[in-house]
Amino acid sequence: MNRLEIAASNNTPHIILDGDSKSIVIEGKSFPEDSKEFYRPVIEWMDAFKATNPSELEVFFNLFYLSSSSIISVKQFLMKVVELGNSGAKTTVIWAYDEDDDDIKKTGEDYQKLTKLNFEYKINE
Amino acid sequence: MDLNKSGSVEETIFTNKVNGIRAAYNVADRKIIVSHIGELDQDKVNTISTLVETQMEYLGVSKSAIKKIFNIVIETLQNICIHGEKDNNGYQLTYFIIGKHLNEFTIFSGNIVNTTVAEKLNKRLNSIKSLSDSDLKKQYMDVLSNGELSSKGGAGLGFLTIALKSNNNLDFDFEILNKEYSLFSLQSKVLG
Repeated sequence: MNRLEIAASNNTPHIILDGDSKSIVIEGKSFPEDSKEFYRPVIEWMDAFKATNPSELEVFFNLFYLSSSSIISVKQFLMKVVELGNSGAKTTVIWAYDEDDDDIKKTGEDYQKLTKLNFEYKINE
Repeated sequence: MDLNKSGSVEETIFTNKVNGIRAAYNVADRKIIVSHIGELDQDKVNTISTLVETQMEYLGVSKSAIKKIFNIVIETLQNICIHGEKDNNGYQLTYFIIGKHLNEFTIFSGNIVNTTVAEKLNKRLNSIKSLSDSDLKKQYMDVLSNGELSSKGGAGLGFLTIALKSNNNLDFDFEILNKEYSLFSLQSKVLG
């Protein structure tokens, strides 16, 4: 399974999709001009990953800013995680945030409510 | 329509609007801390948003207020990039100003829209303004659960986000420029 890494830019997060370790990392800020286009490779990678019938997936988020269109794109990504869970894989989402960052914490809680995924919250040290 | 032509009706209405905002902040206790007039693209969005963050930190604004303001700034600027109408020469006339009055920050923005868009925006923003806090959050969750990005990249969450971050402290107006176009102005307030 391929590993895909997308470097961070001024307005996009650092992303690592690793099929071998069955883990995904998304960290930084996200306000690309075209969110759909930016997250397209991530969504496509998820489809390819699902086709390998993985037993598990751990997704680690550490975002400190998400624009409204990014919020929709990340939700679409999380729906792919839900699909994976429905086909038998054990999925975990780790949602890290700064202690005083209620906005990002709430965004995580919104996603959890919507997707019913297994969320673990982690406060950054 | 030639928006870049000094002295045209459209340019005069636009300039009067910007001068009005500037004049209102040209008094004691009030100050303009960020101002951008002219075209916008993603590079300028990055530059302006970084500038806003730096200025707010310099002014000692709380982290949560900076985050709220940053949210509004990004949504406002990206809305303009996606939806702001250009003139016959491809020139996009926009303004973006942040004014500070004591601990109150007002984010002003303006761009040109065609009449059809103006009607839609008017309806949408009036409906958002009429919502209570809990209804705003409910509508936000509805759009989040059902929303897809349009071909232009809009999600339907932008104005809801601005309303939520400003505690629904937002105002807007349309000034008719000519038969086809209006100047759409939006302002929202955040306490620092």
